[in-house]
Amino acid sequence: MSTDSKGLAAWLTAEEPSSATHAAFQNVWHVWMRFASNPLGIAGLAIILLLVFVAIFVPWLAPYSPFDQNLRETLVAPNGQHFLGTDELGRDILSRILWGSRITLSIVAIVSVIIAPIGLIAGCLAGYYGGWLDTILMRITELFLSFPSLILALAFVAALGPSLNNAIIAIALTQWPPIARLARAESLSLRNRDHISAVRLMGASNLRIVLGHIAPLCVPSVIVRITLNMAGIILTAAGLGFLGLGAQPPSPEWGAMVSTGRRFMLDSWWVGTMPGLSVLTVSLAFNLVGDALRDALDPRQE
Amino acid sequence: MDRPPLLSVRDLKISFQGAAGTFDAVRGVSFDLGREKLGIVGESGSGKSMTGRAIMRLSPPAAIVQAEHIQLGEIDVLRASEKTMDAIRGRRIGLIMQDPKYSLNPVITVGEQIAEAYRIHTRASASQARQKAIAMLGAVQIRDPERVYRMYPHEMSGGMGQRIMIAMMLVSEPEILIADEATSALDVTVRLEILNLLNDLVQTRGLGLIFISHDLNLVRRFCDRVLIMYRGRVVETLKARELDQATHPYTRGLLEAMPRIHAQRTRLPVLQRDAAW
Amino acid sequence: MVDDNMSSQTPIIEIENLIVTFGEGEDERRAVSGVSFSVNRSETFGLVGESGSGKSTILRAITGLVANEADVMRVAGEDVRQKRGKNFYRKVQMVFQDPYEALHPRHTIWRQLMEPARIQHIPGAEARGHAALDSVGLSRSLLWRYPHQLSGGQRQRVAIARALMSEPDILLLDEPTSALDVSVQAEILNLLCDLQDERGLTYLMVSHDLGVVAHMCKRTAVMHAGMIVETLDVDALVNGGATKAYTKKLIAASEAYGEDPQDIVKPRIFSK
Repeated sequence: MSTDSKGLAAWLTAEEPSSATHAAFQNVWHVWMRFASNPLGIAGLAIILLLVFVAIFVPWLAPYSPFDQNLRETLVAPNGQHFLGTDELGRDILSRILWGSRITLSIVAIVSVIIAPIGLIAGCLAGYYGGWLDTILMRITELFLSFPSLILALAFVAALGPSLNNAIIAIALTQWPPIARLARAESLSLRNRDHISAVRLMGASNLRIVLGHIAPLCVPSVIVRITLNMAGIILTAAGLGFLGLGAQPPSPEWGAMVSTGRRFMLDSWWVGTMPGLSVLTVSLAFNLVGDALRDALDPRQE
Repeated sequence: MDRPPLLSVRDLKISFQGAAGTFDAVRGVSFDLGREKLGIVGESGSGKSMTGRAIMRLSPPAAIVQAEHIQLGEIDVLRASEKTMDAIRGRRIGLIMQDPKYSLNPVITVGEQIAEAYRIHTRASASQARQKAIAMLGAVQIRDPERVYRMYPHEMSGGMGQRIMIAMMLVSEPEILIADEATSALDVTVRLEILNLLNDLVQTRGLGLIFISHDLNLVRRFCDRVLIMYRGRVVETLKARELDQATHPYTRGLLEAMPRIHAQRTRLPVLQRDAAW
Repeated sequence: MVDDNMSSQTPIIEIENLIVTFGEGEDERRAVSGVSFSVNRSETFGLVGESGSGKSTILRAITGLVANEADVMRVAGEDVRQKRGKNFYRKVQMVFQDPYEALHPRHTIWRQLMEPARIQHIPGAEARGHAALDSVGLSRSLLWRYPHQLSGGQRQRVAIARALMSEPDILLLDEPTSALDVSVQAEILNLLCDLQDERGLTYLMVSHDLGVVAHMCKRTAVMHAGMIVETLDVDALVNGGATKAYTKKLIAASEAYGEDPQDIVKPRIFSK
């Protein structure tokens, strides 16, 4: 066993990589080492991993079903049987929070997967080509950016109808413009670099340059920006849920739980506060990871 | 020279702790500076800039700086308090860096910046400072100092910007001036003017000048004495005029490797580095 | 090496009245105002001048990286005033000034070398890549490294190897050694001379350093404020054959501080 791990460690830290994949792995390793030297980043990552773990294993972890009502045990304070208490319908809050993690995670994952490529490609194309393509993109993004994102998401959901899926689409629609602007700003400065001129001088097509040379350089900023925006995404989803426009009852979406918990704030504070703390913790975790990632991915490693 | 040196550095060591272990940027550098033009020459990684910064205790926070002493008159710079250093930096020792674009505040007129530098170190009034600033602009051979006083840094050429920097540094009448690649970003013809200016100022004010550069050709003609640094050590110290008689293989290698107008060769001799240096 | 028969062949680069304008309306300025010169095959021609003289802009105009107008602009037999054919990029390559910017920071060295091969569909790319690496004196172990793991000199060698991948006839050198240490500069200049001997390359070299130009070039044009002040053989330049005042001033400033003839009025005082 120890020789295996020594082998892996040696392979990762070897002076001279022996192939493209070897070099790529080493690169990832170096980024990880830099990330790992940031304790706050590790803390954030731990929380996110916990979230993922919970989301996967919740059927075995949750003590109760999230939908089981028990009208004789409504609004029970946290105790030995219900660690986080029960809500107004007697449902166990801990179980609802645990099951709600799946919803939160899927919102975050789907939104990111949608906005990252769209924002990146649109921004890079606009920044590199300039001209009318750039003008059109700028006007479109300005349109989106001139509204507060929650209001905009509200408008979309109102048009599409309240449901979790529509909430996800609405959030994605409000979140892609900042990514596009970021990618555009980066490509504007990148396109004048010597190594891009060098590729143009090889006769490369513009598309090849954008996809193969410029977009990869924008990826780190986009990743960092998305992780920093995760907090906003979660909060927007929570906000929509709060307003009844996201996941519909009895779905254990955290925002909706906070909303119903409002009524019981004075007497049964745990109904709204517990899901609220979950939103806070996960948002904070993504923020910390984003910060640490930004430092770790900085190409000025010399 | 039997006068005590303006600055005395003994066994300066600067190192950095990194993921890959300790990196020694400067490994035991010693020299004295009198009222002369001392050149410190080296390539990248030689530690010459680090040495210059250490004299003013401007090393990066991660640097571990040790020395027997860095003696400026009666004060040991290395062990002085931050308050003492505030009175030394810009007042007794001035620093001119490579690019005036980055050294000057872009939103304040250059005249005001010189005046401000004066007021930091003396109890002068605003109008006194202004007078002094205009006088300094004249001293650095700027024609029409009143007009230049009102200009902004982005309106100036590189050479003019460096004159402003020199004026700013000299306004508090320091004893020592450190020029860190001060002419490297300038065109060749402008370089000559700035060097003439520095020479005049050093002579008339009796300053000690430490001229840090990678350009051996430049230093050999401008400075009185030259220190050659390689990988953190001083490998040779000699009078500038005697550079042709240098004995250390690194110095000789550097001299040979430079392409020169009047010494044409088919192939430039390449430096063979020796780990022992 | 240059042959006396050179003058009878057509020059490989011919430029007449090249003009490059930047900015619009009031801000319009001419970076290059009516420059004419020609370069012969296998020759090294220098463009020397201070910053803002327009020398680097000329290279960018030739490659089409900046818009320009000219009466004549022929490179390797092709009229390149408007468009450049695919062949142009096979025959002409450029080496940039800053080795830290010339390579893509996220691609391995191997990928950087293979990129021109892929774009130009070069046959036998792998073998050519290895050969290019050998000709610039770099070991194969560097293939999978990233640029930030290489020194400035190594990066510039990679940039040269990359330029050699298309087996060009002409290399445009934009101050290829000014960002390098003196000792590294010597190695790179020697390398460039060797490559020229082996492959019969033509070099159009831009530099602000008269010493480098005197070492590398046979003929050179001296530039100032977007115009050519004079074009002369380097031998003449070195031996006092310069006729224009600006050229003489440049030579004097480059060669010696303190021996500038215009300084006779103020005698230099050297301290003991």
